[in-house]
Amino acid sequence: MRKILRKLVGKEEETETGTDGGERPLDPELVGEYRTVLLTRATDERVREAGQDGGTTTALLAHALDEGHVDAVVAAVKKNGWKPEPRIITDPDELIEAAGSKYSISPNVSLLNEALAAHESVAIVGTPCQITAVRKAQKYPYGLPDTDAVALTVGIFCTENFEYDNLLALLKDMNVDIDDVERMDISKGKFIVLTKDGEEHTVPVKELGRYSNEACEYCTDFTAEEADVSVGSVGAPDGWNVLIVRTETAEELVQSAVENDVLETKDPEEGNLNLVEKLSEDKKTRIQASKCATWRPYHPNVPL
Amino acid sequence: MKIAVLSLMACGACARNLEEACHETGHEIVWSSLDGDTGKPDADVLFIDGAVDFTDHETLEKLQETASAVGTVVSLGSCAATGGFERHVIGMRDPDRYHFTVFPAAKFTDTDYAITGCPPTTDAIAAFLRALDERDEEALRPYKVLSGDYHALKPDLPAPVTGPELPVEDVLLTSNKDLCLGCDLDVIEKDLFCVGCGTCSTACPAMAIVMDEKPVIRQERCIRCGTCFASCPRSFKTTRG
Repeated sequence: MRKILRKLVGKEEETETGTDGGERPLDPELVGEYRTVLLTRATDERVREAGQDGGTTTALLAHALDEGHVDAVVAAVKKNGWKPEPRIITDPDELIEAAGSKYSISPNVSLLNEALAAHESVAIVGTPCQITAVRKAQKYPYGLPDTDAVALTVGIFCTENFEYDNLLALLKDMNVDIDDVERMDISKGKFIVLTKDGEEHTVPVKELGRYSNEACEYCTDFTAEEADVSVGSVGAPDGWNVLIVRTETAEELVQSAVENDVLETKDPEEGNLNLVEKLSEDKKTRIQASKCATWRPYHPNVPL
Repeated sequence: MKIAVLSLMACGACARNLEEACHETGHEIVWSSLDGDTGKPDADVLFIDGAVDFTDHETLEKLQETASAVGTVVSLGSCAATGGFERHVIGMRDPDRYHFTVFPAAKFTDTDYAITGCPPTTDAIAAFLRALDERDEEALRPYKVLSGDYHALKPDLPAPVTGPELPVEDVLLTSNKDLCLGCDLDVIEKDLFCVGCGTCSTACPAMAIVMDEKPVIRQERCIRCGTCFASCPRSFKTTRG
């Protein structure tokens, strides 16, 4: 956002960031502060198979459990008919059940109190809004004790989410039965559904707006800017993930995962990281067309 | 900071957590009605704990006398801030006579900040004390808004307002303070601000919220403390960093 403002203000500050920022692969104004960006995938083929793209999230969390970096992981598992459900996972092998994207709401944070009560250190996987919620709980711990025990937050890139009924409606409009779905994916500007008979059904992402959760209209965070580490597939080659490492603890964990041959990496140059920036920027400007924007004349301070 | 505690109609859990938080953050409780202290406290911050019955003149006078002697007044816990379960009937019980005469302490004296919770966790109070000690205005703002002093936050408006009257980040906090805060969660949901993260459910001290994508409040269990609302990532935004 500030980048856009800066463009309007003039080039003066633009050169300023050029000198101190150097050659950074991503603009922190668009994707949040970070330490490194990598292209990664799980070395374990089984994990890659179960995962959405490179299986990085699953592999990294399994490694965190194995190494004792965390005692438990709160993640979403897939129930019947693609309905996700949050679960506390302590066994690295069980994590495979949570692998892969589910395009429906899973209230992961709702299990955080239980996880914190039973375990000394906890990792949580979530959409950007869920990571924001955890950070707020750490800053304003109204009802949650020991929020410091959240040792790792893994954010998933997110354009929008769907209520389960709306997901069913969307699939119905695509003439797909939820029980026939083999795989769902958002890739290259399209929502792609692969059915068990091998057929591919697609809808452009632009048409998803009316099915998506309305609260997503007010969201400006594509890359989970407050997470310790953010994972997505946008901008990565097929079968790989983009990994944005934001904190020192996450950096150490990723390094040890690479050293232990859990993750393999690639030079970010081989991906198309501009896409990450573009989608982040899209999400930050999308709010202009939302209901918030109609309040603007009355609210000079609306954070658009 | 020198801290004073005035405990009114309260169970004492808030004051207990405050004592623990003071230990943690190195502040001293110099005056406490729980220790039999009376008169005007010589303190920097006064924490008011509990609700008050407006037919009880003696307590009201005590409240005003104490509050006027201290520069910064904080409603500690939901009873003091919104009435909590002292004001609102727990769950689905029939109201008792006193539910009509009991009000939050904040109704009878000017408060600067409010800490929601039943009781607020030690961590929550410690976080507030740190922010107050450092005069971190940005971090203190939500406590200020929740204390009801949001009129000063209104921007100057060139025309009559037909929409919500506050900036978006505060818009969810405009709800009527006399309403139970448990119901205010509906504001978030009905106005389609709810992302379905489940924070309200995890923060609820009464385990009154179950998640079915979006929160479902089990009214039989709700104690009207407003913790759900305060902890919701969409009720107010936090600053980054």
